[in-house]
Amino acid sequence: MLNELCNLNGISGREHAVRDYIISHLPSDAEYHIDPLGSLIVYKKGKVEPKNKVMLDAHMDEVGFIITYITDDGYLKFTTVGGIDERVIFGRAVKVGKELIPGVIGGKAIHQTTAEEKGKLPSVENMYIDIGASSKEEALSHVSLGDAVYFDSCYREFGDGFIKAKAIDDRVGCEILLRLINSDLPYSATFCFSVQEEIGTRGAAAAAYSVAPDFAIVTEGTTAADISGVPDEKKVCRLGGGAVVSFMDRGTVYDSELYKKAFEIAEKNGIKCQTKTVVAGGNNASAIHKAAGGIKTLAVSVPCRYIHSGSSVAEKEDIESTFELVKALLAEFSQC
Amino acid sequence: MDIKNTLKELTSAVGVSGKESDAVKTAEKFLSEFGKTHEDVLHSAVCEIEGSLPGHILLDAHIDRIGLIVTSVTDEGFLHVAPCGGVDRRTLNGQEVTVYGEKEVFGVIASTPPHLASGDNERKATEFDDILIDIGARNRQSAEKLVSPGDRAVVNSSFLSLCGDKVSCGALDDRAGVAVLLCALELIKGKPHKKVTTVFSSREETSEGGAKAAVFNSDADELIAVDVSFAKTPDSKAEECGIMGNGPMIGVSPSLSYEFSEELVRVAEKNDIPYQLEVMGGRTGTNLDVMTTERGGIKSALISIPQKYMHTGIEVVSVTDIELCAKLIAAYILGGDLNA
Repeated sequence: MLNELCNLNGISGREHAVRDYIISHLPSDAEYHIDPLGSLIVYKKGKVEPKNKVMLDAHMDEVGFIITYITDDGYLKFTTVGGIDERVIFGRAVKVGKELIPGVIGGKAIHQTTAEEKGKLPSVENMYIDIGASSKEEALSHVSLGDAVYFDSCYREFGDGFIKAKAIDDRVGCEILLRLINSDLPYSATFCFSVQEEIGTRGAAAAAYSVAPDFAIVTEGTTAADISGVPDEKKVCRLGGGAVVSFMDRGTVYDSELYKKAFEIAEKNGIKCQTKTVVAGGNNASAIHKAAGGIKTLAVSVPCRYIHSGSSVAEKEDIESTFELVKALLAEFSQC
Repeated sequence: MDIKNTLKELTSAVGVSGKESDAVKTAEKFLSEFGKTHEDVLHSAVCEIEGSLPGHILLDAHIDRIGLIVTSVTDEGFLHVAPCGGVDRRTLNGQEVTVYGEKEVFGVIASTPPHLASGDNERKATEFDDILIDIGARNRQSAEKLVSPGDRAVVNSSFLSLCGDKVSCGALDDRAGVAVLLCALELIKGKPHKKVTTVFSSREETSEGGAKAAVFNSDADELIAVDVSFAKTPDSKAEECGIMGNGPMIGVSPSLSYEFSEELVRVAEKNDIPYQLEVMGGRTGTNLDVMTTERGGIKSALISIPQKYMHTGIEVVSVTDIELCAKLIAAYILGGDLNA
């Protein structure tokens, strides 16, 4: 299922394909509706009604690009949808527009660069997509302004239990939520598959108001920098270290009781769990915790290398740890 | 010859500089249709076609491609690499690669997240010393089971058909040149011509050694090399580039035979083959820099295929240009008239 979810295309605002896939995988006893922004809200009855209303959130959208202009000689100018480092854009093959035609993002050859250019990436505004068109007219016969562009990347498994895909952030969250919906839940719960996270946690802000839960658990992919040469304190979190629960990121200072509770529950259930050693990144918790008069919110994430690139890497064991911890916390928050 | 399919097959072989055997085998399969073919000491593919007319011409295109070479393994199981040829390191972060170890090993080039970059190294291309391949190994022992120093790696690339007649793939430098020569050999097949020796040379991207050795072993009295050169992109200087789709770039340089260049221009005009001139001030940056002075010197010309995004995994060429380059070479070999 994660395989199929990651291979689906859906930049912010174009989450249709992901939403349709999720709907088609909902059990018959789940109720759902689509809110005005496009987020999918699913309610699933459990064995008993909980003391507290708990909402689980995962975002459907992924980072990508959008066509902004076509030059007279047929090159496509674009901007990023969500934050993408120039270093993972330049020299890449992409899929463009409704027909998903191939394109490449390149620039003048390394041999033609000045000493300064040689060591530096062009800025996104100076990049362009080449679909092989020789004129604006030829380009326009295949693409339109506003068309979405995606990394050309397929899910695959490799190494010692690792996976590689685009959009692991946050299809891994979608997959975990779908698995929970399709299991026997001890307590009734609400699941929010939100839109527009990557452009500023917009879908979750609207959905959290509508759902107005007592507790929210954001299920995410989060940046791991556990590569050789990076000082330990800057590794943020590491693959193989289990679910990530953070005390603070760029969007949220987490409730310290909930943070402590997460580690207690993890230990009690023998689930691998780690914290983030750098205040970095952000997620829908930033919008949810201050919505609807305030919601107690925690984020539980899968550590992910090369996040926001076409080739993000995660470890399967960590996905299991995250699933188990989210499941345990759902039960805990329902009754505490 | 179906140029696109030939390019697809040629680029699907690996053949990183100094380890060209699979690419040589693929090229030999095509080459052996035209004449007796062998692999020389430095693993270039050489095909000799006897002629009915006097004279002996050597045709060269290099078979190797740029890539990476594994230098060491870290305790955490990542691979340090060095460039094997002039890899554009601006394009490496987060790329998917195949390491050719004991077997083919999938990997991703590590990319440090932007939050670790301080303000002054924003958009900075990672130095080769800091480039690491992540093969999903949990530690050194696990990685060393699969990979050893000296193993080659390449950035994965699919063969893409773009709009019109453009194609994109890694290794088009210089498999596009190999395709040009195969196409030229087909055009002269069955017609009277001088002796033709075709060399698909090894090691161009690192030392130009394959071509140097091959020309020494030949008694040809003239030489045409085919390589790729820069096609205009929006960010490059027009005076440094050819135009994609406008046909062969005939090299004009003090290191080449001016008479030979002029003759190729005459042949192009006579046969209505569009062409463009590529004027250089000295060295050409191709195999010819070492070939022309070998064994007492050999009269040489350079024909280049306009290419975009050289030395990346997304090189782009036009199939029409390849066909036109082949026609020009064939017309020259046939005494100046393609329809002879």
